[in-house]
Amino acid sequence: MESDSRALSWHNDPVPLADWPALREESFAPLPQRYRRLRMMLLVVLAVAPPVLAFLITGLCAWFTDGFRMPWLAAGGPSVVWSLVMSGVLWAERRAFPLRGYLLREHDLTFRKGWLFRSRVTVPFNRVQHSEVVQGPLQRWKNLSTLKIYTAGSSGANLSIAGLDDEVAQILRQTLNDRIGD
Amino acid sequence: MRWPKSCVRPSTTGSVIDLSTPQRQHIAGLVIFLAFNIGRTIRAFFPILIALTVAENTRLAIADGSIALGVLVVVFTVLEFLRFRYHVEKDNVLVVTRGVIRRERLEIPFSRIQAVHLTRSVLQRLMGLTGVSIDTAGSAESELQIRALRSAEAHALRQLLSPHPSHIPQPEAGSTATRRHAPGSSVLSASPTEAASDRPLFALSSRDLLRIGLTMNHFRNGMIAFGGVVGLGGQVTDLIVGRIEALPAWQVTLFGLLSGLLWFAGIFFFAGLGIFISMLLAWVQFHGLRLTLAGDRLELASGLLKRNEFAILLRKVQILRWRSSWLQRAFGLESLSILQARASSEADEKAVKMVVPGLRPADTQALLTIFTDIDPSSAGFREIRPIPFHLWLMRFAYALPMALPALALITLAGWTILPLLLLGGGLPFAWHAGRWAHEARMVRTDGHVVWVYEGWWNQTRSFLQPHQLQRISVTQHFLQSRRGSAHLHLHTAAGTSTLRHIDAQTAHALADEFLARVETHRGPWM
Repeated sequence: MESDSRALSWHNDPVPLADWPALREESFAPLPQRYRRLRMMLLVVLAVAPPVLAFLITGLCAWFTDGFRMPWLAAGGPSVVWSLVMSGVLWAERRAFPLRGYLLREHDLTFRKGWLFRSRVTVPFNRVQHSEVVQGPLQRWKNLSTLKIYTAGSSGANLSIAGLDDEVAQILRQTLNDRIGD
Repeated sequence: MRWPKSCVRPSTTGSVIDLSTPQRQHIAGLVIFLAFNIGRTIRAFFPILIALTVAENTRLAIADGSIALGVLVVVFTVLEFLRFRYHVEKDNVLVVTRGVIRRERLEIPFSRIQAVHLTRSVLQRLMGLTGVSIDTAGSAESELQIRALRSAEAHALRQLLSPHPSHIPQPEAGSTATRRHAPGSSVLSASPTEAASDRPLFALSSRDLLRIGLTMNHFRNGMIAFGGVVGLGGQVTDLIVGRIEALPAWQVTLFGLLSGLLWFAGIFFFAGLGIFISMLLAWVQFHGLRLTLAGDRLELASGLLKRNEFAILLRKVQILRWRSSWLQRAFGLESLSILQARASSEADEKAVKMVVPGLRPADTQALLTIFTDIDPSSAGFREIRPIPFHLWLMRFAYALPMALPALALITLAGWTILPLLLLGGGLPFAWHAGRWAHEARMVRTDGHVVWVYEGWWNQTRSFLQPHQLQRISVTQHFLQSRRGSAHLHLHTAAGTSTLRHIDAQTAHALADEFLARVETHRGPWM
């Protein structure tokens, strides 16, 4: 009912399918480079921390039980495997990050991500139930935000774009809120 | 404050239900609340109870504890009953205040209500009461239950809460309702929702019930029976083994010879038991099932002991999904799920689901004419099939579970007969089954409706309308990006339908087409 006043100056004529703008690869807006650095940093921490912990714990155990003999194989084996896996993940991240991006069109918002497992989700504005902007401590440090969009029929966020510039996220959310109910 | 007139509706008994002031449920509801709470308490304390009964010296403590617990439960129940109040505000908001320890006030605008269902369990029927459960989508509180109302009140409440209370009983409607329904049918049918426009779509006779029972999953039911017998009969087995040890040697040998026969008989016994349980389940669950089109609503009533009455607005139906196993197809039957918007799409199994078993092709046709009058095999429909590579993917998927154990056996024990049998039988099967699976997967669309076909052994057929979609996603894993194929996921408020392994360009084009459909659609979609 409250959307009536807005609806007066709004029209949305049917568009022939051929005229409908198709999604184009190059028109996706990328995420800021500082989000890439943040992700890289977290991945490096994730790659380095478990081996360091493994050496520390096995070393301490050896100290209190076996005298001073360090069990190099027990700590080193899993660490090497873990480092190999994580270096693969880091390498994939270099390829995957440029593919992350969002596309704002007249009537919908699309988010694309992934290199090995690609996905592209589109939410039409007139199906959005509500939207929110979330910022964790790490994101606040880098002035980044996560935009979450909720549609009907599921419990979690249906579209969540992490690592947006905070200002951009707020603008996007405002745009969405203006168009909800159209 | 004067209460708006529209909230005061006459019920069948002629009494007027006034919802303007906060009110409690029927006093007999105390019993239902108590039964519910006792059940919940027993379930919560079940492990402790088991542990305590095993220990001999705690019997007294159990007695004391359970008395204390019982008193607590009774007090809690009485408080819960007294604190639960509901009324209607501003003509269009249902307000419920409840809670013993943590009090809460729910405000549910009528526009947010998806569906209102009526349930009558055995206990409720004994008390002459009806429970009303209210489904809302997307809100924090997914379901609200008012468990104890007099039947007339429950019907009036449903009438009031249903999104379009379009059937205000006409003077002649009462007579048609009584004429149409035999006195032997359910009490619920003599409700004010019955109007002259009611059209029965589908009803199950006792012979239909028999057929449905025969086509249920006997294997599962047989295993349940087996589990039950093993669980209960553990002690009996001990007894038999004890007796056998006491017998002379020649009798033990004879018993050993006969045990092969016993196995054989056992298989028959459990198969028979499985079928019997299936019949029983079908009878209890689907007795007197009736699907009716009442104006713009679908109404489904079924159940022998617990009688459920679902009602859903036609435009709130998100997905129609037919399923059939090979056994069901042998009898020419299909089962249909009518999916509506839910607060959580997949995780919550307890969410209300309308299932109609035992549909014949003619019934399906009759039902479909409500939603669409276009035959999916007609010329206006495009047929989209998976890419050719999908055939090999399917063959590989069928071959792997046959080939892997065979290869393992060959490496472990050399070329024996078993792996050769596995390979010789399994690979030709995989070759053909892969083709069947490939050919069964298909999408038909004319842009306004979408049909998704899947499976050759257990077949599934889903019907949805693109204008009801919530979001659309296209996914591709690394093998698919090499082959240029993709999955197209169509998310509705009631769940997802996926078009698998279709050509990536087609997937993107379809996504854009359906998005255009969503974005240009005016009017309600839920």
